[in-house]
Amino acid sequence: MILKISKLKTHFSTPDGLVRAVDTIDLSIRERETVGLIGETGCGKTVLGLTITRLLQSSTTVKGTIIYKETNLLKISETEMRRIRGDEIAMILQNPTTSLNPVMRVGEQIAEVIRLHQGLNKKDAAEKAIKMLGSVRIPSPSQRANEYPHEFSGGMKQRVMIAMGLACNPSLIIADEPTKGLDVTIKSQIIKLLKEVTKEKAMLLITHDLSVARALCDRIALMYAGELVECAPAGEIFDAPRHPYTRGFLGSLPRNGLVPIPGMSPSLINLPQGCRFHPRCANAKAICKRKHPGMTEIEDGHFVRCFDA
Amino acid sequence: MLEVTELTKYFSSGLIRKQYQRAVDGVSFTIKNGETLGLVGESGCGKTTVGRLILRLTKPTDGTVLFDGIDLFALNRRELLAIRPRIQMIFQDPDSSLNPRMKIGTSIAEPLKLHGTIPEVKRKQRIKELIETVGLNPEHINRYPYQLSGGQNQRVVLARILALNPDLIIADEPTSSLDVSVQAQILNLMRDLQKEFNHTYLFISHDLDVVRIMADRIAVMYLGRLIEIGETRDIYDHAKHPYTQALLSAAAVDGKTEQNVLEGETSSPLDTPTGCRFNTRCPYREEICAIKEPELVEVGRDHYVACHIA
Amino acid sequence: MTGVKVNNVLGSLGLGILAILITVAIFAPQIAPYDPHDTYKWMERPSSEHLLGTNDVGNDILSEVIYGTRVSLFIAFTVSITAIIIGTALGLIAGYSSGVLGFLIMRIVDIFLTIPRMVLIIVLAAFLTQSIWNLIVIFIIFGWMMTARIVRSEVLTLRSQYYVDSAKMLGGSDRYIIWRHILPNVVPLVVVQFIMEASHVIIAEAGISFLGLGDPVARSWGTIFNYAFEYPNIILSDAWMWWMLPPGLCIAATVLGLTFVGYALEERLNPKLKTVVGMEA
Repeated sequence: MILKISKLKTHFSTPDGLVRAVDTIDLSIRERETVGLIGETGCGKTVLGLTITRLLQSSTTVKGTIIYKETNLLKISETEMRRIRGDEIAMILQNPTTSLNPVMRVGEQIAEVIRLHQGLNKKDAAEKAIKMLGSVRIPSPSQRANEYPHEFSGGMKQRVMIAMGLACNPSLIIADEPTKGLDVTIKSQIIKLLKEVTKEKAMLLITHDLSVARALCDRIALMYAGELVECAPAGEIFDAPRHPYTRGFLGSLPRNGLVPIPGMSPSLINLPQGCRFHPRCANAKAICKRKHPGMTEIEDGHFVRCFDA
Repeated sequence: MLEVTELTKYFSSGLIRKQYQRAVDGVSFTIKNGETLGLVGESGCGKTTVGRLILRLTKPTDGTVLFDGIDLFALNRRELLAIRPRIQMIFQDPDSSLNPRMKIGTSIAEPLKLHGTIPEVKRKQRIKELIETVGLNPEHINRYPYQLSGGQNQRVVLARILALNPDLIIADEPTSSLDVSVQAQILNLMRDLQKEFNHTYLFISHDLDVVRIMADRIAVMYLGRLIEIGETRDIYDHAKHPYTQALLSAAAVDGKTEQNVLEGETSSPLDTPTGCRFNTRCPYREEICAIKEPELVEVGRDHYVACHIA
Repeated sequence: MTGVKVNNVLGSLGLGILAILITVAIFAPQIAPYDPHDTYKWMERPSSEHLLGTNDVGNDILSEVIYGTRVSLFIAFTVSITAIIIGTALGLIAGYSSGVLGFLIMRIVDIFLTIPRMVLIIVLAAFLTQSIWNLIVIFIIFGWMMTARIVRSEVLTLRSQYYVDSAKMLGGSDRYIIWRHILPNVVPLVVVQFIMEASHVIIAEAGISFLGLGDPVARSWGTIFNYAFEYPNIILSDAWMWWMLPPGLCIAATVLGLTFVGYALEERLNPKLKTVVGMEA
């Protein structure tokens, strides 16, 4: 077990009320395993990623534990966390355009990360940076290292972000929508690259794109209104989904017949009583309106939050 | 219904050393009454520009567009204003398609007011009908766009378009900013409305899965050129152009089958390759491909491909 | 969220100051104890008869300051309203047409902006007859450019919004689109611009009048200040306290009031500043 999240809660207070972005989540990732965290806009999946890396504002309330290897990430000091963020856990964000410094050469940006975390001298770091660019399949890396971000296309920038994340040889990668905004043909190139990377490393892939998750993940967790509703090996999610939301989500894909889920996701401020999905659920019963279902293991390694599963 | 011939748009930039960007280069196609044509391609291929050119939201460089026999590019200002209600466009960002300072009801009333087709007393009733047709509540009439979700705003856009009862609707990535479950709601609504009101659609998208469901015929664009066009079934089952094949393979990710991953990236439209524009990435490239630009050739019934080796 | 409350308090405070000043300006003849042109004993100290004493020719200073409010505010508001209307109209045309006309307007703006405006205003004011109308015209000539420029860039942004395209598709004419979709979205900017221009004119007019270039008949705060300053040894006597300080404080209060209202309005009218920075998940 490389990462074990238990009873994690992330709440923000806003003038409109308390936002329960992450609400009692348990999730663990094994060594070299890729876990997909799937959900729609506003379900709290990005906040979960930011909570793990402790990149949220200090005004947020975080409860529960996040055990990385043997350390509880919520208990350690900011200095220790900074070391872990580069050396142990890498974060690959969406929108590489704003994540790269536009006035700094790409090679230098990667070398800087390497120098900070591995204490290499300037020359060695620069060489390592070029090696990293090569490893994410950027053609003529020694030449491209001297170029600026604007000379890179969107797909190439995402490769740079991946190279930067991998530069210090982390054991866990948190990738938040790494293929968002990329063209289909470029997207499959990035998927192919991530597939090679995850042979060696564990990854938490946060995305709303099921095709990306299907291509990359060993296990998949579905998030709805701040909590997990189903968590199972990837194959089972696609072939035998048990939660009505998972089924609805899959069914609304164009290639699965385009059957929409009625209504829309609740606001994280004003969550429905009982099961959070019941207002949109076709099979909702009396109990679903009254009682909030817990996560139950219905088969080995297949967890569902539904009275009916 | 719509006949587009040799549609061309070059954008120029730079004052001293002019650079031309061949955004759309000699694109021709037709759409029949009540039909949906899917226009597919990756970012920068010129598909959005094609839509805007037809509507004359962007000035064309060359070509003609016949709409119901009327040459749209030959119309003067007044004639253009008169014909525009018959062709409508849905944009990809529903939130910016509505004036943020206007209530939903006011936005929907706009076309009714502009064209005065309905007397003022009956307008309220009509707005209520429209809003119910697109699956919203009458209580939404007094809300502002920021109080509604993206999916709901796209419904409002549809309601406003329905008020005009247009013949042709150009939908430019209407669901690309929406979540899948909401996307399904909107696409279904569009299909239902099409059946009910006999709309003709030009459906522009990068998402092959979506286009497959929506379109009767599909046109594929690459770097400003149309490279393949045919019936949806033919394109999906017997794609002839290597680029179309690669797009289809890239979209069919399931984690099991080995994908045919296309190497390299689309060249810049400022500097298009000579010969076939795809030749720099094509796995089957031959000598002629770098020399001569292929024309669209009929390879099956209503199935045209621009490729030397297909 | 305390920021919003602070701004609300400041806004009301500013509004209060402005309301008092405007009332004083409108009802000057009723409020002022004397006609500012009547002469009494000169250089009187403040007394129950002349609350702020009299000046070197025997005018009641309090009445002078009250009538001065009229002159100063009249100049400030006339100039800024006219300049803003001109600037907004030209900005709309330049942003919306973007053809040769738009290009020409913007080049004229550029030329005007390169002129050091205070210097030229002083030179012009010195050459022309000293009257408030001349001052108003000069200020208008040099007061519209920033508005034109800001409005134009906002129009360029708005013009690329899909809802403007949609309005075109619905069959709206250019005039309709400008009135219905562009102008209402520009108004907040224009209001803030108006406030800034008004406080600029208040200060600039005071400066010009202080240099002795104001209208000697319709005396503004700046002119009163100037006369006081030119009286020999004013600083050495106590007279500055009731002769120079009141008009100075009035100028400061007006600018402060305008600034407070400007802050509050900017926040209220700009939805981007109003929205709570929430989490996007």
